Amino acid sequence: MPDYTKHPDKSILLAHARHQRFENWLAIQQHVDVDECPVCLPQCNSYRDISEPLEVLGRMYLPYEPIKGRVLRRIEESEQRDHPKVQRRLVLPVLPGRALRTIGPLLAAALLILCVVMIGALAHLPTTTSVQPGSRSTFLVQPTSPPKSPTPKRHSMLKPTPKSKPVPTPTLTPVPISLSSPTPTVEPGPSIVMCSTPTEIAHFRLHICGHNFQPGDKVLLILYFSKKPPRQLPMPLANWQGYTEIMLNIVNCSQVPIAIQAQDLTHPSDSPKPLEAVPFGNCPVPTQTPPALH
Amino acid sequence: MVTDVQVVESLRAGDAQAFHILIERLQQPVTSYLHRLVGDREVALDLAQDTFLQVYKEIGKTSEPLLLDAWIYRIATNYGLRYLKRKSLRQFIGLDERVALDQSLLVAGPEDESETRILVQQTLHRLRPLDATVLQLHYGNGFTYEEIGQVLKLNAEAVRKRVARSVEKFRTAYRKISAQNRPNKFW
Repeated sequence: MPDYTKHPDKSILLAHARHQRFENWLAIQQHVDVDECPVCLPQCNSYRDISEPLEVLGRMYLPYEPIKGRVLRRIEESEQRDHPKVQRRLVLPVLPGRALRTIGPLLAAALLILCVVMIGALAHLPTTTSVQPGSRSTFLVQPTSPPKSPTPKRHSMLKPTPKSKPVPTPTLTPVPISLSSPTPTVEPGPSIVMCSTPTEIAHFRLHICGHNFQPGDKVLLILYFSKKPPRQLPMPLANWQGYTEIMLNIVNCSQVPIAIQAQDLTHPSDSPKPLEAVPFGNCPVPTQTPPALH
Repeated sequence: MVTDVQVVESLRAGDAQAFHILIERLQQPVTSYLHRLVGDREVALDLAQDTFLQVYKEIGKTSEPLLLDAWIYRIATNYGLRYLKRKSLRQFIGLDERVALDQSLLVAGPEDESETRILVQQTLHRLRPLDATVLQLHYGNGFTYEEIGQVLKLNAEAVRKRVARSVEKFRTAYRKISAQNRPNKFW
């Protein structure tokens, strides 16, 4: 007989009505939907009712003019503000007034020093012949350092450059290791590669990366082993770049699969070629092919 | 779970292409979210720009792990809430007048839902900004409690309770507004 004395909190009933996962959600499902608690079921239904008008928020769509251009312009302006020296160097030829304002204090200082020198020279006039023209010109025409090229501290994101790709580091960006060929090649269609970094290999972590799937595709991995039955492993949905990855902890070389097959469940015709002879660290490279792949 | 680790790394390294793609991907949903939150199209467009500008400035200062979308929505939410706070203060001291709801919302979805849409927006504008934000994220953007927790820096349990409280407040306010607008109908 169901126990109706303990009713879950209202927030839990709402979460249940909204299909949110929480601790003991199966017990709540049993209590509400299977046992049909006379208190909680109407409460859940009322939450479903109030959710109905709120659902329109998810169906609201208004096209907005793209803001990318304006954002990039504002970044440019902001960078110029943050690096005023760079800006001055950039605007010097087109804004002489501003440039004059910039060099004004320097000019005043130079004139002041010149006056002091001239007064000093006049004071010593009886003993010295004249002020060396060169010494004056030393102040007026100070040897200036060559103009530095405007190099902002931060790499600009405003204009995409072909060499703007980050340099991959072994710890953060795994270098893909192709299993079928010694050099990593990314095929135009969907493909899977073993992309364990040396650190991951040292920790016996099998890292499998999938590329060029269609965003949102559901991919299922089938791992074939030499002495064990195959194991299925669903990968996370392909992201907006068509990329998906999964990490598998193993204990020893016997757990390294002899072949890996990926099935694109959303677009079955796009399934990539299976990987065979999977190399993993110092483990012996398997030579047999699973019968299912023949 | 879909991971954006690679994208975050590219952005942190200053990859221009990654930043361009990010704006292209999120400019519509973020602007739409801000529009629903602040109820003013032009303001939403400005705040969306501020959001991406902030993303550009701050992404390099973040440390791992970073849930990119939640982090961006957190920035957008902060901008939205700050705007609403300033606006209510200005209205309170009489510097600003109360403005009518944005009429563009009338055509922001299926025609048969336009009345409900306006009622819902009117109701949300009567709620406290944080309550409205929680409902916008959950119902408008389909965020789970965990994802809302990432945006608002709360744990999932706190979000669950917050959503329940907000729904109760919404229910009360919606009934009142519906009764005013449709006196012959009981919701």
